[in-house]
Order: sequence, then structure tokens, then C-alpha cells
Amino acid sequence: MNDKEHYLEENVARLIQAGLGKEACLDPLTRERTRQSLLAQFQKEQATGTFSDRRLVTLAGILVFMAAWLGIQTLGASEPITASIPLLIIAAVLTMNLALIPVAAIIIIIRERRRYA
Amino acid sequence: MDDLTLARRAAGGDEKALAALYDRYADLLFASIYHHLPDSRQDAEEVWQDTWLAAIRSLESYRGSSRFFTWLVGIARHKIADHFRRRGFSETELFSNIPESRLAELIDSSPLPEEILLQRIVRRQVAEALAILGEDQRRALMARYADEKSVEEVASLLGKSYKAAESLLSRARKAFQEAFIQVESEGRNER
Repeated sequence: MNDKEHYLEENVARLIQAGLGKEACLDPLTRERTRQSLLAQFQKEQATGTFSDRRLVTLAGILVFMAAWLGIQTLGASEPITASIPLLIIAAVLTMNLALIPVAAIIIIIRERRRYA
Repeated sequence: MDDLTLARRAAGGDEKALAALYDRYADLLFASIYHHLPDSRQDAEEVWQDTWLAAIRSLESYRGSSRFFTWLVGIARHKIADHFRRRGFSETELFSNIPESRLAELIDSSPLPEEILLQRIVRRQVAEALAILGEDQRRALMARYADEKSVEEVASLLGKSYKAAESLLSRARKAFQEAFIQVESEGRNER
């Protein structure tokens, strides 16, 4: 073994002992227990199922449409409200806010999902 | 089977694929997290478990643009930052322990100084470099140097002859050196 190989072996040994020394090793019981609970959690999440991003966006679209439709119907059905411009503006702002709630919620969900991408 | 295939299978609901990824990286991930939180083993275990939970919920977002272990470490860094933030530390205090030395260049030319070996970032790089290696090389190095087994024991653990184990270890050391250089240069580019 030449000098380079000798130093390499010695340093690799010391680095691995420093990086994976006894104090940085997992206790086998914790390792196994976490494995079991992780797999159980995984099964549970698979069983409940999740919405894909596309389904979430479609859902948001439907909710926005429904909120907007409801707002328009309300304004159309109520003559005294449409006659007053300030009330009309307040109603429009409220409807807009209602419509944006599902959009915001779904944006938050999708961003959280992609946080680690 | 490679990590990307396993991750895709796990994202599709394959429990065995998830178990394989866990078996491959559980120890290295814990070692990597532990060096951020050496004062509390309990906190390190908690962050490690949270990291795995977050990982199984984000498997769909893993597209193989980085190594799977690097992706896991990325999640762990978020979890560690959350952990410290809850305790009132600032972001800059968390990851500022950066060595200026070009350690990888010294690895086969002289004994490494003790203070370098004690630096947290170096210890984390060890875990990341090991994660790059193939399964056999990683197991051989960990058995030989972390568990301090003899070459005969490594050979019997891997079902190989003494000569084959010796040759595997020699290749593994060189591969580790290259992986270490790679991890170090990636770390410098990130900084």
C-alpha cells in the first residue's frame, strides 16, 4: 500500500467514524418502531386517498363559479341593492372575497405539496 | 433498483418501495440531522421522524432532479429550521458553520486535522457522500469503519471472499473520496 492509499484509508476511517460515530447512530428499537409507524401512516394515507392537483384546481373552479353565480343571482333578484352604487360595490367585494377563499386554500395546499420539490 | 424508481413506486402506493428507501437512508439521515442537533438526541429523533412523514407526503414531488438523499436532507433542513425557529434562533445562525478548507484535496495526502473532523458540516458531508455510493460499497465502508468490523467479517456480511471484500473496500474508499469531492463542491456552489 503506497502513501496515498494509506492516508486515504486512514482518513476515510476517521471521517466515517466522525460522521457516523456511536452517538450519531440510531437506536435499533427506535429505528424499527419508526419504520412500523411510518408504514402504518403510509397505509392510512393511501387508504384515505388524496386529491391530485388537477382535481383540486377543478374543485376550486367549480366553487368560484358557484360563488360568482350566487352573487349575480342575489344582485339581480334584489332591486333596492342594485339601485345603490355603494351597496353594489360592497356586495361585489364580498362576493369576490367569498369566491377567492377556495382559490387561496387550494393555492396553499399546492404550494405546501411542492415545498420540497 | 434505483432511488427514482423506488420513489415513483412508493408515490404510487407501493409499501415495499417505501420500506426499501427507508432501509437505505434511515441511518444516514439520522446522522445528518443529529449533527445539527447534537445537544438533544430526543429532538434529533423527533426531527428525523417528522422528516420521514413529510417525505412520504411529498413523494409525488420528487422528480429525480437531485439525489434522493439530497432531497431528504433538504426536507430535514426545513424541519431543523422550524425546530430552531420555535426556540427563537435566527436562520443565519443555523447553517453558518462552514469550513474554509478544501478538505477533499487533503484526504489522501496527509492525516486530517482533528478540528476538521469535529466540524458539523464535515460530519454531514460524510453522510451525504456515503449516500451517493452503491449499496455494496456503502455497506462495506459502514461495516468496516463505523462498526469497526474486520475485513473477514465484512466479507461474511456481504457474502464475498476475503479477496473480493478487500477489493470492494479499496474501490469503495476511492468512490467515497470522489463522492466527498462532489458533495463539497456542490456545497460550495450552494453557498
